[in-house]
Amino acid sequence: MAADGLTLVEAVAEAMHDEMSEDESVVVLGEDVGRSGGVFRATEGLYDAFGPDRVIDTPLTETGIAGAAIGLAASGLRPVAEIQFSGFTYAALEQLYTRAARMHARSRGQFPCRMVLRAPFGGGVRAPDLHGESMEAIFVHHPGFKVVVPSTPRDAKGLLIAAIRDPDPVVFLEPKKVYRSFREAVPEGPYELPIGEAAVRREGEDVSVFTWGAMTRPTLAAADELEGEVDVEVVDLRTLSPMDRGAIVDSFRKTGRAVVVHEAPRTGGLAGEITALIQEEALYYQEAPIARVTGWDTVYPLYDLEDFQLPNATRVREAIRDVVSV
Amino acid sequence: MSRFPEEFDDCEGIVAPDGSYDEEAVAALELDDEEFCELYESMVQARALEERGLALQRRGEFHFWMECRGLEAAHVGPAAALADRDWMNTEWRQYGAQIQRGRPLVDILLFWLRGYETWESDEIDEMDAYERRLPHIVAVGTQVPQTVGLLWGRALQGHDEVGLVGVGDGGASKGDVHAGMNFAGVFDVPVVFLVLNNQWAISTPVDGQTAAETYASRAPGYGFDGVLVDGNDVLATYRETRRAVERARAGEPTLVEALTYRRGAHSSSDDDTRYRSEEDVERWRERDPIDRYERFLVDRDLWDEGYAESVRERAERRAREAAEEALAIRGEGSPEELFDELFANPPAYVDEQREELLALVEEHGEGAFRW
Ligand SMILES: Cc1ncc(C[n+]2csc(CCOP(=O)(O)OP(=O)(O)O)c2C)c(N)n1
Repeated sequence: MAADGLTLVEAVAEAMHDEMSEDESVVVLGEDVGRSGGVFRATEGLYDAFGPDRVIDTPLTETGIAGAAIGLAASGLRPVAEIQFSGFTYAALEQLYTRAARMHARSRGQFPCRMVLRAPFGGGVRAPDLHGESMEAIFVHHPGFKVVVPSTPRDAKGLLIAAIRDPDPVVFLEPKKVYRSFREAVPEGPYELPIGEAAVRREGEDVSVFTWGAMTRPTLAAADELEGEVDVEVVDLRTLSPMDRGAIVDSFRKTGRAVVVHEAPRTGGLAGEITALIQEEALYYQEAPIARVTGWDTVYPLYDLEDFQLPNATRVREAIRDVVSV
Repeated sequence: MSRFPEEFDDCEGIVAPDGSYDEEAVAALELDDEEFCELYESMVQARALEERGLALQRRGEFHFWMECRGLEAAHVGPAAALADRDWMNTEWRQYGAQIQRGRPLVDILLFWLRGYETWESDEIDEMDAYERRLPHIVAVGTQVPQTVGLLWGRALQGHDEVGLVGVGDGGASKGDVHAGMNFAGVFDVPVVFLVLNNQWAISTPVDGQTAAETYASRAPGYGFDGVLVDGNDVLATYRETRRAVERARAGEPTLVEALTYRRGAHSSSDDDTRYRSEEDVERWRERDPIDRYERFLVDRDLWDEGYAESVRERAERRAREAAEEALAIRGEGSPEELFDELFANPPAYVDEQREELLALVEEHGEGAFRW
């Protein structure tokens, strides 16, 4: 580990490296994951360390990658499949929905579907069309998957190792906007962080902000800007399915106010789910309407227009001000 | 409208529709009398199971049945070509294939009654031949890349196992099938692709799926061989699949196209008179795989009325008993089963929802939930 820590994408590579060393049934497959190390270098070093039978460059077909990963899992291996950009996961959805998520149920436990599908997700890197999608809600809505979205290098490594060890199919969405934007000390060797537990990134008394992935950074920035004016609690969910409902409800009972921040489009997004949960579990603690700061319901825009699509610290700050002013 | 194997010069066959056959080819199969009879009995059993399934559907005891009449040779022959350690992922309609592999009839029926399947052995290494399969998938074609992944993984782990995966002429239009075949060619995966060309995908005829003469002709595009076989000739489907299995063991996939015809409706909910003529069906009835094979067995002194009668009776009895057993088991389902095995490592919310449902059932009784 470098003295100044790892970036998130380096932590992802290290997680696979350490777990492949630990368990020889782990194989990595996807487009350009081998010699090139992946377009984001998320599989850097694996090919040299483990060779072409364990780090497999596949033909260009997301259906094939997902389908083969499902079969590899049934064969007793533990595949970690990379979809190059989350928007191309659309092509793999039939395989994932019709088999990965229901293999365990439909075989009554005979064939767990022990696979991880990794994809760089979200916008903010000025990429072409279909490179900026945030698709977490469609996976969370389908029973049978676990959905993980790390926001820091240390979490990324521990959660990815936990995902590889989990017997169920895990969709592991990596916020590419923060792939390289900061470094953090990351423990050496394999370690697990529990799937299903949120992290309180900042404690506060006045309002709870629930978020995940790349949105954690602008949310923390907004909380810093409001220092002295509003005491903001920031909860990074880290796992979207299963969601840490206890952490959400506890935080809300303390503050009585909430803002949910996600970059995915608003309608049908997870902010609605979180709001419903709060209504069910903590209505009588509620002091103000819950605000949603989300991507707009648009087809994801390119280049300069991305700035208007993605929630930023200003939007989060203003939403917090609105919610505490009631 | 329909095509016949005789129209293709290169269509592999052994027993002609009139029952005449190629002696040398039969000798080369190296099957003993018992094995010849087993193929027959599997086909008869498949037909008897179908008759039972349809009867129960008409009586309202089964919600749904997929028909297989006329397809028995295309199902049974390929299954017989596999070794016990091999894998077979069929489509749901391939009853004969599963019967040939030794799958209990009750197990086949339960798939339709409750949607999930169960296995006897927990470990792959302890599985019987018939258990070496993945659960059926209703989304057609999706099983193809999965089977490729499965056998690829088994090969990477040092196992000498081959996989057979079936897909229909309709399913073969799907991108998954292309992806799977392409993967197999690139990675030398030991898989045999069986395209079951029964000429109909519900009401869409095969020329509405492809403009190609044959599906077998796709294979060279993937870098391996394709073969067209008379799908109503059980010895031919057996032989060509066995050859393909041998090639697969050497790391070379093959596409076997079995050209046949679905004489029944697509399913118990389909009215095939809306889209095709009785003459077409009749012309294929003359090519019935069981009748044709009976003529062959007669010539080999392996068949007489008494034998046929006893095979048929046994098949009908087994189908009846299996159906009774399946219906009894179906009735045992309880509401909490909804949540069983949803995950290998279940999150807490699954248990919470189960408790929520059970509390409601406890309060109002199961009857309040029946609709
Ligand atoms: C992906 C998908 N689309 C549609 C269906 C509905 N469907 C069930 S069977 C069938 C026709 C399949 O035809 P074919 O693949 O030729 O196989 P056959 O039923 O003739 O054996 C269709 C359209 C399905 N099961 N899966």
